[in-house]
Amino acid sequence: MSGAPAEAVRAVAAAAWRFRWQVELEAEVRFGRLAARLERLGRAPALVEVARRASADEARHAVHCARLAAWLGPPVPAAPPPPPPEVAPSGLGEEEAVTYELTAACCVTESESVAVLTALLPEARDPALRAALRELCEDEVVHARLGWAWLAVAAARGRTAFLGPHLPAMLGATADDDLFGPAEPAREDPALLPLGVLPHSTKRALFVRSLEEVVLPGLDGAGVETAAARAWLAGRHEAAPPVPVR
Amino acid sequence: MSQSKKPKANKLLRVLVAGGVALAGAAGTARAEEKPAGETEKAQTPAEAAAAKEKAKKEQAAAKAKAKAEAEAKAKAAESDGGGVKGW
Repeated sequence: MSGAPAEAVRAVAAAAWRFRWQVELEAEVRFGRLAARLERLGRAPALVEVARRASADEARHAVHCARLAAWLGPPVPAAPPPPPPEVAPSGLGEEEAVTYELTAACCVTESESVAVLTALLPEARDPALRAALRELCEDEVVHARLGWAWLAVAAARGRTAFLGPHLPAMLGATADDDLFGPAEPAREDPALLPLGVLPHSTKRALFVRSLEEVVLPGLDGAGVETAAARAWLAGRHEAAPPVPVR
Repeated sequence: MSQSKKPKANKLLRVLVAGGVALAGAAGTARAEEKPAGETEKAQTPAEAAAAKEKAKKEQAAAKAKAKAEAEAKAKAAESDGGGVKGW
């Protein structure tokens, strides 16, 4: 499928990179906060440094995203976005709250990001875009591992089971609001790929596949009950429109 | 995008999840948590006792900081049932 005006496709890509700029700046703050919290917990000193480095990585990523957004459309705002809220539900102790936040940010979101970047890399023709995607992908692998490493620490102490009932809310808030709905033609255009953006339905399919084949098995292995998450995913996936034929 | 260009999920599972577990192992974190305490409770020299006292002091301060951080986190999440982190 194709045919959306080139300007419309470019605008979609510009908006995606602008959103990524925001996401990366939020991640910079989140990882900085998590480093401090991990340090206070004192259970995995080696991971504190990994979290600190992740924060610095995200600041660098934001610069790449801003540059690519400006290449495709208007520049990003001068002011950074407000600090992101903590995402753990109320009522959790500090250690569980950190486990929740690392699971959401790293095991789910960073793992999904690696899948997206890996899918985008072969499609990128522009050398600068390709270099940026490669750099980001290499860093995001480490960021995802941070979450899986912490989860291994928590699992060894038998403190991961609490996550299971929270997974549907976590996944629901991770997915784009309209990920399981239809999108306008410009967001489905394969011409997005060389601009570093996945067409909407491809992104949805990759999100589902990564959950099914990477994230949920990883959580299973860490002693987290994933039945509720799988039921949530099945419900969303069944309701989603079919992938357009190209 | 062709099917063959999509990332191999099993490879990602190995790279990310197994890589993370290996990171925890390399850092000695997962195994350290499983080791029983007790070695440090044998007869102590004066230097060890002083170090233990200092450690207890630090732990007390850390517990205080932890309680403060917990209170802050709870306040921030007070109206939340749990959320997620948007990504790419």
